[in-house]
Amino acid sequence: MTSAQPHMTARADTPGSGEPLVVMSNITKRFAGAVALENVSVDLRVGEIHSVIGANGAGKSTLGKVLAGVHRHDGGSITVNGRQVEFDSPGAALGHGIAIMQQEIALAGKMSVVDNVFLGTELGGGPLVARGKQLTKFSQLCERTGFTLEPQAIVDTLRLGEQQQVAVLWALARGARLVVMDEPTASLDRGDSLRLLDTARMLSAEGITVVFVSHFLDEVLAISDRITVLANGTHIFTREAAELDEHTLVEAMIGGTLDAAFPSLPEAPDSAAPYVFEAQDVRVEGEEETISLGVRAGEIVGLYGLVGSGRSEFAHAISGSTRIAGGQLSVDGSEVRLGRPGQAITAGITLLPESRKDQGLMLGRTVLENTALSALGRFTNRFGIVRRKQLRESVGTVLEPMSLRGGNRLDEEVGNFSGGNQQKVLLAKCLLTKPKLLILDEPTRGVDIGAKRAIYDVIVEVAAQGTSILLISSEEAEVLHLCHRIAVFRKGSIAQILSHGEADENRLLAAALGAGEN
Amino acid sequence: MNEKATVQAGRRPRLNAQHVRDYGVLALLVLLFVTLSVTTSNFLTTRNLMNILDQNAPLMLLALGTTFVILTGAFDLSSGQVMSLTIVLGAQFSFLFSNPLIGMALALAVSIPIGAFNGYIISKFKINSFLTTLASSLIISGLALWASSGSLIDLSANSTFTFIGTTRVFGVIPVSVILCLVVFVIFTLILRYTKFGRHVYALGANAEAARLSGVSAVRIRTAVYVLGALAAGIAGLILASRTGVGRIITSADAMTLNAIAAVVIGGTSIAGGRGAMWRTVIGVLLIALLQNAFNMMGVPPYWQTIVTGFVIILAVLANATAGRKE
Repeated sequence: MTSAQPHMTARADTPGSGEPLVVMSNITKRFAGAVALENVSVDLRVGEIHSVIGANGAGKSTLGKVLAGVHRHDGGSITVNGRQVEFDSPGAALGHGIAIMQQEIALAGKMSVVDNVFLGTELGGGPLVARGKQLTKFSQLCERTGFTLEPQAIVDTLRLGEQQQVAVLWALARGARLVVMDEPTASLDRGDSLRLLDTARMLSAEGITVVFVSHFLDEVLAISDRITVLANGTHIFTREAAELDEHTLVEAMIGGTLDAAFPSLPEAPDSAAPYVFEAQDVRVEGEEETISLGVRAGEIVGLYGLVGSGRSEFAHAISGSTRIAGGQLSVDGSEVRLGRPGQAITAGITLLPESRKDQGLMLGRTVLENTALSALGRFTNRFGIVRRKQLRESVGTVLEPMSLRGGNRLDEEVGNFSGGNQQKVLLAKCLLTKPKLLILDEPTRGVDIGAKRAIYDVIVEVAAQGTSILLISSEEAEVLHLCHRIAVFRKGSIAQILSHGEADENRLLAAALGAGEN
Repeated sequence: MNEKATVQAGRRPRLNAQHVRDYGVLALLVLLFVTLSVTTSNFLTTRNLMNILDQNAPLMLLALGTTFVILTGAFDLSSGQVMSLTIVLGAQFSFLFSNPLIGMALALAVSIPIGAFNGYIISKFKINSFLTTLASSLIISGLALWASSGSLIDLSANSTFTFIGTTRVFGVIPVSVILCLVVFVIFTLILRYTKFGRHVYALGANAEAARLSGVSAVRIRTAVYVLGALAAGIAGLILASRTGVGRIITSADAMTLNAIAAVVIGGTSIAGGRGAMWRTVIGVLLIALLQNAFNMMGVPPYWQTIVTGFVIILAVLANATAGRKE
């Protein structure tokens, strides 16, 4: 479907200016002690597209999740149509017409599209499902939205953009009056992104309020009626989109983040120095392109690129986590062959994986056990017995510069810590293996500002001591400030390598998008 | 070592949900023990206590072995059948070689490839452990039936064969109980002090993190199933020695499930990654004491089953609600 009128400019003319549907007052939310939202007040009007933007960790997703009942707020109040409400679950929010499309869409992937749309609100009498009736209603919904979805298709087989359409239909089938979209375009290609924006406009035209959580300023400016900016969990402003431009937004977003300034980068190693780690014509299994890259001692090389550009795949391949189909790797000039992560660690290559919860930490085990896991072999005698005292001392030493708040907490479960402190434990775990090449995949993801700075300091310090580092980050500022060189990935291979001096945000994006230099 | 007491240091030390989760079963066991001691005259006698331990030695061994498997986040539904097979083979081999020591050692050795088979298949091909061990339990029970299909071997007159099942050291402590104690101590040491032990926890706590940290799932999983099968084998030898006869036991599968229940009652997480050997001991003792109490009070057996069922549900509930975090 295409909404009739093209909205390439802000749209102050459409509904939006109407009465508030939802009023959130003084919302405060803490996670394990860390403040995610502090006294944030926002009103959401009937039928408006209201964007919530902010840097990573600003609290924008948290606000959306509080609104949709995914998180329970610790302070403040929410009213819907003037009546105070208390959401203890997404179901409760749905009861008041508030639905959420999460970043990881929660659909039953093995069921059909139509079954998903009506899941829990099946049409029909008693225990029987009226399939015919559902199909009729389904095609009505499709007509209304302009979606062309095959009702019997299995959701797992659909593209992400299509899955999001299923989620929209799901919300509509429940009579949602407000839909929270949490970074809906983050993982979409251009075409699907545009379609998603059209969908948001369509919902708004029907009088449904859309809360659009994003960090893509162009999208936000193109589609919003009003924009709320958050920084560090506090409310900076809510203004009409028509009065705003990209520059103003960026300034507001970084307003609270100035503290996160970067440590100064140690001098780049001599360009004649030999590579500590070198990948030659490496082809990741399932990919077509080959990648060649070398890292010198003490050098930090950034891997930048858009989602799906192949950075993480490369990182996993050279750390033994996935298979390499071709090419060769060498450490200190001698070739290494990797069949599994243990071999990479032995060879001196350690990966800090992207998801600390799924791939990095054992949340139910202690800080000590987590930190020690990859390096246990070094602390084990020939009978397989762990030298506990020595291990404890080494773990303490490696955690020392992390300034893990709360003093000596080696025996506390990692799950009790904030995201930032968990990330420090994960970093310490990698350092304990004494890597020659440390691969950091999004090392500050979901981390508060203070912890970010601490992690940056450690990265720079480790490099200064001679460790080679590959830093994968989606935050331009991180690769720009922390890397001697930046390898920009596009479509599975390195499109360009920029030096610290010549790189800026424009060049980075241009290389990542494949646009000409400007 | 890393018990909760040190964790709470620096904060207000008060009873919270986590304490209930961690030490609730222990309190329950003590309570039951004291109650039985006070209310009945013949409970707190060395004789009765040793009898309880002796009777439950096979269950204890099965449960200790199963703890290893469960800690890695997997199941072993074949342990009871391994025990049953060892009973038969123990008698057969002892008869065949006319030497109970060699015969029993050989029978015990058979459990090693069985455990290795289970663990290797499950981890190498990433197959569900529940189904794999369910299938292998069928295979093993078939083998046991086959092995016992000839004439029944009766070695009850051979004092070497019946040594571990019937002897009491100093006339007091059954050899079976000493075997349990030895296995418990060894397993505890392995779990707490070796690299292997840490890897067992890691595999259950977060398999992907363990893999990326260089832990070999195939190696660890194969090893835990071998340890589990060995413990089950020892249990089988005790039973064979006790009766002196190489006959399969019909309640093998029920004992497998009881062993799993004991592990869970003790507070070891059924999802893996959290638990300890001493917890399993408590779980087994709790089941054993309940049974003993009912026997002495003349309560019919169906009540024993019903109450045991509710105790398991309580244990799982305590685990689930106290372990839930924001």
